Amino acid sequence: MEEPEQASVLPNGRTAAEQIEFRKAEYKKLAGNFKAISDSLKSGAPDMSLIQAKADDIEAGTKDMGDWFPAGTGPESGLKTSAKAEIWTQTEDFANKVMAFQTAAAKLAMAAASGDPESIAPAFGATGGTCKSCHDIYKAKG
Amino acid sequence: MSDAEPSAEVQDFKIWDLSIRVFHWSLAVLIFLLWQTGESGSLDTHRKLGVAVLALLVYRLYWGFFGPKTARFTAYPITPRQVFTYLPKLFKKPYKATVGHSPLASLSVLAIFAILGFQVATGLFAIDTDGLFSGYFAHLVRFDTARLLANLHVDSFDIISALVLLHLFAISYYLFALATDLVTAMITGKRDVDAAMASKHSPATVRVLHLCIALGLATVAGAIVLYFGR
Repeated sequence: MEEPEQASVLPNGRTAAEQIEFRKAEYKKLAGNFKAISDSLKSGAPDMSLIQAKADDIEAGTKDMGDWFPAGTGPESGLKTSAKAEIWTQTEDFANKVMAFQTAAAKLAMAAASGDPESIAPAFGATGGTCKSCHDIYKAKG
Repeated sequence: MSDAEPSAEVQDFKIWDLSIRVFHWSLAVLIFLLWQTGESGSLDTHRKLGVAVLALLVYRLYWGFFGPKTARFTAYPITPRQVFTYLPKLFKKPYKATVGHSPLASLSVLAIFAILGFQVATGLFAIDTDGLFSGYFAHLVRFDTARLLANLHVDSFDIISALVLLHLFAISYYLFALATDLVTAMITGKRDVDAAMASKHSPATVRVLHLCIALGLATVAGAIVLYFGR
């Protein structure tokens, strides 16, 4: 090590680098689940049990999304992250965006549980819309 | 300044057939639109335009073997000897425009064809970071693989940009440094060429049967993607 890194520990016990890695892994899992649902919906013969499992996984896995962004894990950390500084300056709006996603994800899980293919597609679209509306503001491109 | 040795010229010699000109300008417009839709995230339009590029490439591949001589990859003057014999001509006036692609232009066409093929291929399997939007065949690959291909798709656009800029630079160089207008011929199909060069070619006319086959294959390729893709 050339220079002493300040590996300060966050309140949750992780370093900022670990937290960013964790966050990325969670989002990747989420995107993988989205892909699975999307692929199935577009197949012409949606696999309802698969969609249900993935939708449950999405809902359960993102209940704590609000905690994925502790202070000190933004671009100011000097670490590579797509999380924009606005997350920590517009905290209320960001919290609302996260909640909008969680609400949509819960509805998606309910739609999936109902087993009605007709209701899943719009719920899935709505959930994806909440990803986009947040990313447009709070996620750096590239 | 007049030519030391006035050589005979054939006026309005047909070097580019109609289909290749339509191909060229369609591709130019599509690349611009794909760039725009890719940047703005209008991915639904982006992937449809991508299918149009695939269809154009299929036509072009067929034309590269069965089109008029100026379109044929197999007739491109790209041996090292031909390339090195050509290079000094770029620095000597008067420049005599070739009937079809010069050796350098031929290499450029092949490079552009290859990179666009790569771009279409990666795009078909690519997925966005959220797993929400994907190419027509992304369901056949894992999320990680689709992301890798998406990143390649983004990165290789830099190569396309570079080749487009090189293309525009070359056209300007021929125009300003060599007093040779290459653009008009790509619109009209015609160029005044040296009689000796023209004698080695026949005018680039479209053979209807081959054009039907080329367009048929292009349509089939596009239809396969739209029909079997998700």
